[in-house]
Amino acid sequence: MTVGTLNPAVGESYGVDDFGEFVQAALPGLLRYGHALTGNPHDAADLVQTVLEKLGSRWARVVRNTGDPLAYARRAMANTHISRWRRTRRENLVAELPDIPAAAARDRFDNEPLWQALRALPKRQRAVIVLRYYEGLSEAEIAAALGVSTGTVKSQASKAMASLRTRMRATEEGRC
Amino acid sequence: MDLEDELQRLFKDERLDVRVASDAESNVVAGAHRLRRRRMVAMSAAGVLSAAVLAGGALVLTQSGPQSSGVATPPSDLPIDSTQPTAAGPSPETSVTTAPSPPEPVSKSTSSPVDSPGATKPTAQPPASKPGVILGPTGDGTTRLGDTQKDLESAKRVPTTAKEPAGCTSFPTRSATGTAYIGQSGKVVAIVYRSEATTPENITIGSTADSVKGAYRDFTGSTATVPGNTAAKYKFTFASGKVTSIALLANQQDCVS
Repeated sequence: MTVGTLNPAVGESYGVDDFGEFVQAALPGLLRYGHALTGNPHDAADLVQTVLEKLGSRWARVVRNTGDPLAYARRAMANTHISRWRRTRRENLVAELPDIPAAAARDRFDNEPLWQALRALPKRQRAVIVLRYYEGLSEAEIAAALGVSTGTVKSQASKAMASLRTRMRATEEGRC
Repeated sequence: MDLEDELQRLFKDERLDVRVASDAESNVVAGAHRLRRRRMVAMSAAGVLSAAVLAGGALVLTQSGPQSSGVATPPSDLPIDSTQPTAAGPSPETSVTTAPSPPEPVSKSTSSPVDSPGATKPTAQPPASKPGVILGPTGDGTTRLGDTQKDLESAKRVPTTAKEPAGCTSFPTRSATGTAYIGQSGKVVAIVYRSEATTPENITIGSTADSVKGAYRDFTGSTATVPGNTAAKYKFTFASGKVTSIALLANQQDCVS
């Protein structure tokens, strides 16, 4: 599967009995998206599992009412991450993760100042950035997905971009 | 450096990939089934029980089907079998004695006619479950009857995906142990707890039917007027003679039957 965008065909035309098939097709993309959203693979796995289980328990209804379970799952992940995330960590069942706990601190993006800067953003600001630049959604679409006003999206996005710029500039100066 | 380009580049990075576990799909499907089953049991049992409570004057003896006892005492088929405490149910302290003695409630309630409904009564056995939130005359402290969807959303609450009656939306309560329902009016019309809630009159999950009768004089076997709020009523459901859910309902509402 090509990285970068989620396969648009995944979200379409699923029948009432196809939840397993959907999970299989959607998991790689959702885990990736979760990684971008949460900033680390462990939380990504947690988030994906929680949201998919909930979605699956109401699968027929989700398919019938939304027509696009994948889009629904991604919105649910953004909202879940912002709102009530961070209870106790569950046993991970959906992803193959490195065992060493230290890996969470020193992750694969260690030398990536932009990634570090993103991690430092508040959850909602980060979600707005991910929806904008990972998902390629417009401000209005982000507002609808998160259930906030377009004004909120705008202000969160500009705050986020400003603090990203500040941090990036700081690291660049630090290098000289 | 263009930050937007940088972000797009970063988000295309293959290091974002997370390897999928080999049994991930079956785990998720199993988890979804578990959630669904739990919900179905809770819903059907609550419905059967409230119907049984309404129909029968003798509250405690009416349920007999295996379905109806599903909520309070999952491992047993009959309410009177549940002598052992079960961690899963809301009433781990199920006592055998309340079930087989229908005349007792009558004599008890006539013997204490001076009890005023507002006072906290010692007639209640110490409830087994956590007291949790106070489900008072107008709400639970953070969610009130009459709150709008906007109020809830501005508190960052997210609607559940539960299938509700037409025109109704449900939200988890702040404590996440209960559910608030928004009706066609766009306002909260019902708040329902199946665990960790107590009324100001000290009725909680696990309280006996007798103590409910003692606390609310006009208790009908299902509902009672709310002291301090004539626009609402309490509705209780029971299993094995003990409260399994407490609902604060607006008088006009179609979300919770």
